[in-house]
Amino acid sequence: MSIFEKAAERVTRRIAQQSSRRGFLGRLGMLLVGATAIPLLPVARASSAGGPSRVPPQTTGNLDDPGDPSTCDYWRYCGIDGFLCSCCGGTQNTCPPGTEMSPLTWVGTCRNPADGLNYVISYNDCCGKSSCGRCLCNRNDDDLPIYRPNANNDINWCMGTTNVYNCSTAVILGLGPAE
Amino acid sequence: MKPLTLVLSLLALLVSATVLHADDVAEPMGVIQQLPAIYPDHWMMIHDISFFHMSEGEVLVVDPLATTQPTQYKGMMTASFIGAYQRGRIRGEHYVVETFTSRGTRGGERTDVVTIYDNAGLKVKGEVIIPAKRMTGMPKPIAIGMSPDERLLMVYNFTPAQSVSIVDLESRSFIAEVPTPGCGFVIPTGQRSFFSICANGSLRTTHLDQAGKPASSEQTDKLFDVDVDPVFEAFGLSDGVAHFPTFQGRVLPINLTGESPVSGEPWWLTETSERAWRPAGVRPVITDANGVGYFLMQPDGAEGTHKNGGSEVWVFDMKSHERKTRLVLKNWGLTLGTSGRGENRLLAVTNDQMKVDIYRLPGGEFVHTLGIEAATPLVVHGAH
Amino acid sequence: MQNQMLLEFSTRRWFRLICVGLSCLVPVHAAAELPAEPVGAHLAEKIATPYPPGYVMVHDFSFGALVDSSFSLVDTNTGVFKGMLSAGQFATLNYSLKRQRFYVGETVHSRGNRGTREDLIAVYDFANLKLQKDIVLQPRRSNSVVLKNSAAVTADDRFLVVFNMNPATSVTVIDLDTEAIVSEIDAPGCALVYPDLHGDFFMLCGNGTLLAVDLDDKGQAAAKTMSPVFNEIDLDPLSEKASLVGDSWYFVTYAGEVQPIKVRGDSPEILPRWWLASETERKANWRPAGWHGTAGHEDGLLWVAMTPNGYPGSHKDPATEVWLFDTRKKARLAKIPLKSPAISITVTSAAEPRLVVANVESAMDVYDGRTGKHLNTIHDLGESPYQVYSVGIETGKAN
Repeated sequence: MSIFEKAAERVTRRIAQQSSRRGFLGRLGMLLVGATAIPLLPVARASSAGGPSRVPPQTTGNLDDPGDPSTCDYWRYCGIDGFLCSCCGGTQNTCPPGTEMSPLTWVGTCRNPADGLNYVISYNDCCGKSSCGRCLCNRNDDDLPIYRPNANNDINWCMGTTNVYNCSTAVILGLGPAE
Repeated sequence: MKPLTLVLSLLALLVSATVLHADDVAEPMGVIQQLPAIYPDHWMMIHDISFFHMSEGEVLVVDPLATTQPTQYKGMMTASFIGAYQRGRIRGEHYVVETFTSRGTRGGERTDVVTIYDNAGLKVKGEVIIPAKRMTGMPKPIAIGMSPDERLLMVYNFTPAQSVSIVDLESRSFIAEVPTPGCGFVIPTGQRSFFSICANGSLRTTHLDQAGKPASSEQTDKLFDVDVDPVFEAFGLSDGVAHFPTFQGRVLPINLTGESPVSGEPWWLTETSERAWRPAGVRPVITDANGVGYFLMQPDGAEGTHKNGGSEVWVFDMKSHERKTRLVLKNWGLTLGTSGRGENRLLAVTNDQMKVDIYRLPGGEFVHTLGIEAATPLVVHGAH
Repeated sequence: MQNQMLLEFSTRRWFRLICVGLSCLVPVHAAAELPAEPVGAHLAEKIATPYPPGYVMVHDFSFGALVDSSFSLVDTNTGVFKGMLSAGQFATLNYSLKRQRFYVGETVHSRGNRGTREDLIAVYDFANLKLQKDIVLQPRRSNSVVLKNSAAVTADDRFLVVFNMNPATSVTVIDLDTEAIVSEIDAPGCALVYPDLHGDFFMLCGNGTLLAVDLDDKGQAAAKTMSPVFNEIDLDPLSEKASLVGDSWYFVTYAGEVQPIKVRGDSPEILPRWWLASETERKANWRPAGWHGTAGHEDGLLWVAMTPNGYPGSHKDPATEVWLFDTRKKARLAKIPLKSPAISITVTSAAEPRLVVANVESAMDVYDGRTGKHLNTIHDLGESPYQVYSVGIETGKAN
């Protein structure tokens, strides 16, 4: 990561600590993406095998669900760890053809910048084909160590289906509590 | 692929050359390199978890003080599907816990095994089939453990039911699967016990008999608040005490010398003015062969940054809890490893370019960046 | 099932729970902006069929992790990934448009890269990319680097024929109606499978001939006929990387001579050769190159990847240009300079074909097949995207 990007990232971290973190980052993220497209956090840049991802941009088509589901800073991905199914033939909430959605997973809470509300997001993995290899993202908001498994994104949640991991979705389960 | 006639003519040439020259140049075929039966203690085993091709994970045997890639790279073992690695000093063996599926990378019937390699030949000497339940996911140092006499190997299972599989490394057989409901991981304590960390911040201890079969278990009180300041899934062992760093920068010491773990008073890595500094990374703490502690620290810690790694390594006397020095890393570090004894103590830091930087300990002098190519070398083990 | 189905509330600002299905309890605000979404094993996308022109399969040979290769379905019009197939080592891809199925040849081992070997043809449907069947082969299918003619579907869509080498050579015949093996045909000294237009195929042999194999309707070898010698292997061999153009297979030699083999009649007909490059160009070292450097279209068009830095041994070097030929006129129509050197090429089968190039930067360039105008570049194809297959619907056949 370039020195410029790291410097920008440190500035945004310090600012974020001093404000309501999720809300501020959400707004700042949208500004930055519009202006200079610098990713906020080093781990938040989508990468594919061999370098940064360059998949075609996407939109959900729904103004209430803003952002690009093929990038790490799409609002639902605040706790995602893995390849984005949106880049793999699926969408942010469906699996690629020929894979199976694992019923067990961890959940996080992310803030939708369109309405300012928190949503409970379930990061169901799609299983049965090998690593998709596109758009790898790792964000760890609300992540806890593995001995609290329901809050951990390091686990390979392909269980009950085949053990082989392809990509991760971010399904809305419902609204979370107000901040 | 050369045509047959060309091969035959080359062979004829070779044969005639052999006949004509007494000091013939023909070389022997089938020569396989061997490694020493006992590795120099500064050698490292670098685990590439191969996140983009998980079935092709590898553990590389490396001399980190050699100066070129070919002299650094000694050999490799496969570690399929983000395997777990354990060093076997007593028998001169490597233990790789891995997962296979009958139809290759697209699934089929799953088989989990403990694969046993020898030091010198890096050949598969044996395997022990264990219940196909081990936790698969990002590598955690405490997902695997060994009794101090290296007789028993213990593997953490998550299906999501939680349990631990016990393997006898001498008879190379599976002994038992011990349920640990609500608690994860396996940290050996005493001679024949281990504890697991529970979701409510307590510890659950399992006592085994000499053969490795479960005998009894008990639970401690809650030792830390999982929601407020949880311990990392990694510890540094110094003088029989396991030091677990927490997300916010404390250290929870747990004495492992007895059959039941005894927790001590937590202490802070940072002064009050420094609390923005926090430990972070895949493995944010190691201790060297002298018991000195090293913590990977990031300057702007906050919610969600616990896996980011850090820019400095802070060196601590683990008895007095005194910080000795702060090492500024050449490159941002993601995880720590160590090897060597005495003057040859080394620190390995996997950096954000997925290369491994080597420093001398305890002074922190940068040696070099290894020339080894690996996709995601996120765990480094020492041969010491 | 044993698991931790815990509903936990914390005193902090967030709470966590594990859910199965829709049985999750959450506090609800007065007005939910975005609705709750379903979770379930069935929730996988489907792909609209038949695939339109412009759909290609890209094979990530995965040189650094051979046991874990893949085929990615990509819409070259938009650059969008539609899905993938995971495969083992040295995998091959064949398909039947009539049956809307993919046939993936692969080799796997019981312990990953060691243990007991198993060779398979995995059958997938076009719409769901879902495994339909595993056909277990004898563990001797040819394992070589991205060679399209290691296996083939016969022209009548009846059989899949698979070239074996261990090192004895043979061909396994699979009936695609029953998806079962019906025969194994010995073929000593011969390699690869090139289908004719009737349901038979020929092989290239190490003695410089070809072997025509006729199948009966049970998939048994009805006849095996060896041609005269026509391939001077020691002087200037035919590259195996041929393409079907209309009624003939077009091979190129290492030095750049075209060898058409017509397969419309009862037996393969070896036609007169012609040179791709002029004598001046050949003296300037122009030669065919690329790993799979030919592509054909039923309109009689042939594309050949070329290098200006040819020498004995350059036949798999990356190519800097692709030359377009009218095979009926034996004339070059265009020289297409490439943005990035080619490893492999294919063309889409539309009336206006596109040239698709897997390049040395692990990306895919798409050009207008006739004018050579660069249209787009597609990334994120894995580490070793060495082969591309055109799989979209067609007016005829592209290769």
